Amino acid sequence: MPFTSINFIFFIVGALLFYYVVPLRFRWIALLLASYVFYMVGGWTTVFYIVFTTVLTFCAAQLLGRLNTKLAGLPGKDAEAIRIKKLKKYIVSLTILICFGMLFVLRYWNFTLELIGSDRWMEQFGLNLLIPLGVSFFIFQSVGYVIDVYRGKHSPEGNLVKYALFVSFFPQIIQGPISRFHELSPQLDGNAFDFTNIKYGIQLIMWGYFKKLVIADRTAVAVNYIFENITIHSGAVIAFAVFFYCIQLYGDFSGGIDITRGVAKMFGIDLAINFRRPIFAISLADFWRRWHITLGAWLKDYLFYSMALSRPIIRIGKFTRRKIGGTLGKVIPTAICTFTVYFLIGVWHGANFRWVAFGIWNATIITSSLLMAGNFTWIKAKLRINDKSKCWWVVSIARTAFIVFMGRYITRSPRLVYTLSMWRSTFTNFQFSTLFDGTLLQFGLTSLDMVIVALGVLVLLFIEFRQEKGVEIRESLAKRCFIFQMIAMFLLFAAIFFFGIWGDAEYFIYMQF
Amino acid sequence: MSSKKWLVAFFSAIILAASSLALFNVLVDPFGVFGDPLFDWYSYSLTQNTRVAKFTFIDRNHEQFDSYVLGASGSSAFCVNRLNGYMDANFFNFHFLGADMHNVEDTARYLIENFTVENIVIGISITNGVYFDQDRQRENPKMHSMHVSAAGGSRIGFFGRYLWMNPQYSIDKIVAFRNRTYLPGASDWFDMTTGAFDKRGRGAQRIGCMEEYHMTYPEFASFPYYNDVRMLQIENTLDSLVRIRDMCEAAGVNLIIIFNPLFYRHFDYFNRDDFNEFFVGLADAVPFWCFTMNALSFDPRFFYDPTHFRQALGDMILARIFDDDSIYIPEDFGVFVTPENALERVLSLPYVEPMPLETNTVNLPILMYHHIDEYAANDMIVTPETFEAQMRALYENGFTAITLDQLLDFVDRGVPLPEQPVVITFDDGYLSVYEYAFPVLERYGLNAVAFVIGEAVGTDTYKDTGYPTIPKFCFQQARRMAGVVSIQSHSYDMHQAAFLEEGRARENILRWPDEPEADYIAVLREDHRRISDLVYTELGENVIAIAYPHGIYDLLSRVILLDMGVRVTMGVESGGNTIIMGMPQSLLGLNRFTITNRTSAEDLIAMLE
Repeated sequence: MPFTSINFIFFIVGALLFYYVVPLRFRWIALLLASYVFYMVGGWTTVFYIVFTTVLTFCAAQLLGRLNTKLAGLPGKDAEAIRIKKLKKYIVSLTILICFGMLFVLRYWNFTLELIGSDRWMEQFGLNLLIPLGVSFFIFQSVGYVIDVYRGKHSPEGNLVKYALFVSFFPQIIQGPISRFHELSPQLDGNAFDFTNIKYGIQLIMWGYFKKLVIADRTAVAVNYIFENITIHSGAVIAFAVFFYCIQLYGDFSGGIDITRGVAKMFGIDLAINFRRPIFAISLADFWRRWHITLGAWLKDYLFYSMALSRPIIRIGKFTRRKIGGTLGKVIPTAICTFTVYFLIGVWHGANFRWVAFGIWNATIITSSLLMAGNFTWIKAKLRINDKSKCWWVVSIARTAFIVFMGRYITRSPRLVYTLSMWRSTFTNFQFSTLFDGTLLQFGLTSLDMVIVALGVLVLLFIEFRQEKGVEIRESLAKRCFIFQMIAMFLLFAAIFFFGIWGDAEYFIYMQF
Repeated sequence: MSSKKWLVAFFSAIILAASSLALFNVLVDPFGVFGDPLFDWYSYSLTQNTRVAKFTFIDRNHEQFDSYVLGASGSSAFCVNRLNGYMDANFFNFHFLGADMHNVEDTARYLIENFTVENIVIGISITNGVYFDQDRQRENPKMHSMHVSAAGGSRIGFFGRYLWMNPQYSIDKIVAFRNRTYLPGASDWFDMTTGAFDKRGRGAQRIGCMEEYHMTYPEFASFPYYNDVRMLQIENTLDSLVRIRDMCEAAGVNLIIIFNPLFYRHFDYFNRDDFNEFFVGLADAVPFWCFTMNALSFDPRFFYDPTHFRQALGDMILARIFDDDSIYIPEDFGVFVTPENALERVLSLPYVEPMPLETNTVNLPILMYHHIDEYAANDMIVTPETFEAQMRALYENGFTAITLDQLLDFVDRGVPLPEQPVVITFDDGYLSVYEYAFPVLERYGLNAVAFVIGEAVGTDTYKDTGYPTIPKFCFQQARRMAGVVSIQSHSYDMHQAAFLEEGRARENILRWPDEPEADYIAVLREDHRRISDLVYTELGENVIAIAYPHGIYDLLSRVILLDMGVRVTMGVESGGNTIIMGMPQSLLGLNRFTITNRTSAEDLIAMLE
């Protein structure tokens, strides 16, 4: 049930009515039912995976919780304590292994066979599995929960059914955000009806639809058209397509997340923020703190730090500092972790070389900026650049945008080898005139569409700029006069209604991950 | 403003938007579900979804009809006007694109239960054995599902789907309405008076030699040589057909079943055992007319594409069933199949022999002359001596200059043409045709056609100007030529000389680029009506042929002229022609050899041979 379908709207209305009609203490059950109905409509054949993951991680957490209690009563150096710690490690490792093993088989098995490279292998061992809806989201979420319990961050949930709701909570199952147990779980117990929640929810959903239907799906028309046969176009057209793809990707994904958060809000639930205006990122590392935040945070908390503090990495760090020294020596252990994280971010998006290359691209740039941080400071000092100035801020933003833009060449090209020729075209065969001689109007978009995209992006930038300045849009809107609020609502509504690409709407890009 | 108030405003806006959308969709009604109140453009709705608009149409117009043609697109080739003549009935063609027997059964039941039905004709396609009850599997129910009245199901769901559909459908209709043309276009290719496809455009295309046809329609050569496609819906289809038969018997409806003709490669495409089972089972269910494989199944020119037979074949089928000898039918064309002869028939189908090309086609060269004069100032003028020499050469080499009636008899009724036929034509109707050509033609027993400009007949000056022109023969002279020279149209006044016209000249029959389509159609119709009336009044001859001024024409002009009864059209392209028995389209856009004063008798004979 895609978010853009009318069935989804009906489903939400039905689920909300059901939720608020049921007495407060049973509302979490209503939500669970709704979640499972939603999941099964999406594909009941794969429901096994989510049930299995739920039960497995629930049991693992239960065990870990008991061991934590036992451990609490014991002195640290006690033999029993050491045994329990080991046991905990086994349990958590096994759970992670099973969960990610499942994810690996479902999503990466065929890719791995391809990587090994023989068709015969593919024929013999290739799997044709239906990938469960949102599989990576619910696995990340439940594994995060197990690790949190392992680390003693919170005690395990005692009620399997309540825990099942945490894993399957329906608005977020499709494309995230990846929630943390201690943040989401308390909100799932059941919330009282509140007009403001409904209003804020609707506003957020409408904003999401605006980004998705008016902007992203419109740009998608040209993007799909051009990439259908990318090699025949001039550098300018390719750059235009990639630029539009950047807009599409942001509108699509952040729009989808807004709809998710808006729906959750109507149930009185605040989901984690997944985007913090990535266009204003001043460095690539900053970009990743603003784009798909919950995935980055998950990998940082559960992988990066675990790795960085693990014995082998510490040992490597000591070794490099001693043998190599200088900035390089210091950076190497961090670089190993960075490369691992971005490699995983890459393959999380897709099992192919383009996404691997995308991960490496990001890691390389982030690592080199770490390596050269000293040089940059020196250059800035020499050139007397004031890095607190507005001007430098704009330069940083432009620089980051350019790096991200170049990175998107990798992910959207039909195959990795094409990326190189696309880059080459952009730099050696730009043909500036093709931007203005009407060529761009041959890709399925009329000049009206172009104007709509431009206006849509301007509105988006304006709103995000205000948010960046710390304005809470919905709250500030609520303080305006009745007429102003009505006009804002009608304009947004009319924009979606008249300028949304309805009908064969594009599926959300992030649904496939 | 409180959140409560905001929400009230929001939901009011939603309700307002939903009702506006519904109102908009009802008024524009692109699918013809609500009776198309504003546009009255059923052809558009039918093109969007035949399965819906035909029901709305028949609900409102059923008094006009008492008989129906059902089936998939093949059934569109069963011309309702011919059926009306043969059966003294009022037929409506109720075919759907890709209809399976489930659709047909639903439709038959709906018609019989709700209206007076005398006859039902069903065209069976071979794919009826492959598909059954497909509608529910189709992606977009708006575009592909049947009307709820016939298919059953939730009426709320059905009408709701069209009330609150994407307004883009309605907007598309408005745009298409603004851009609609006289000819069937991408958004309206149904003929609402008959319910069949609007084939005016396809029917106006020239069909000639096989090589040319294969060039235009490469899909025949590229049709897959796969030959084992299973027919797994035979049982369902036959059961459905039995129910239709019983329904018709109970209601006293005359049921005619026709197994449509197939292009031989399409026939080969399916599993032979399955086909035999289908065929014999069909005969057990209900006796039927079989045209499946016939001598023309091997000739792609009788098919629009490898899976759809042409109108010409449809006309032959009806003529065969209703014993109409005014239409050419190949030998052994069509057999009435009953359980007794079904097996024998089906086993003989793979051995049907193709029609040898020389049996039903003829190469027809056409000679084009203009003026004959002692002094051949340019290529368009031939001296009397040269003309005489050319005619003598024709005569001595055994050529027969045939009349247009002979040509039509060959195409329409299969009357063979004499050996080495040729057609002699004169454009513009110069007096020299009467003075020089007529005696020579008479002497050698040759027939000819003179294409006259109606307005210029009998004149020697350009109309209203006094400007001298080459003199034209008059009707009195034309009457004297009767029996030798037939008079046909070179337009009434659409062959104007630009330098002598005060306003903008009509140099040919095409529409002026900036001329409104309706104005142009009126002009061309009026022009053709005037020359037809003139020739008929003066000579008692029907105008059935036109030589396009300057040889220039387009689809629109062709369609208008065909619509007004023109059967033979000629251009000025040099080359021979392939005329096909039973294929009226082989008379369109004929090529002509330009004969000049430099064409020696030997050259002429070499050219024709």
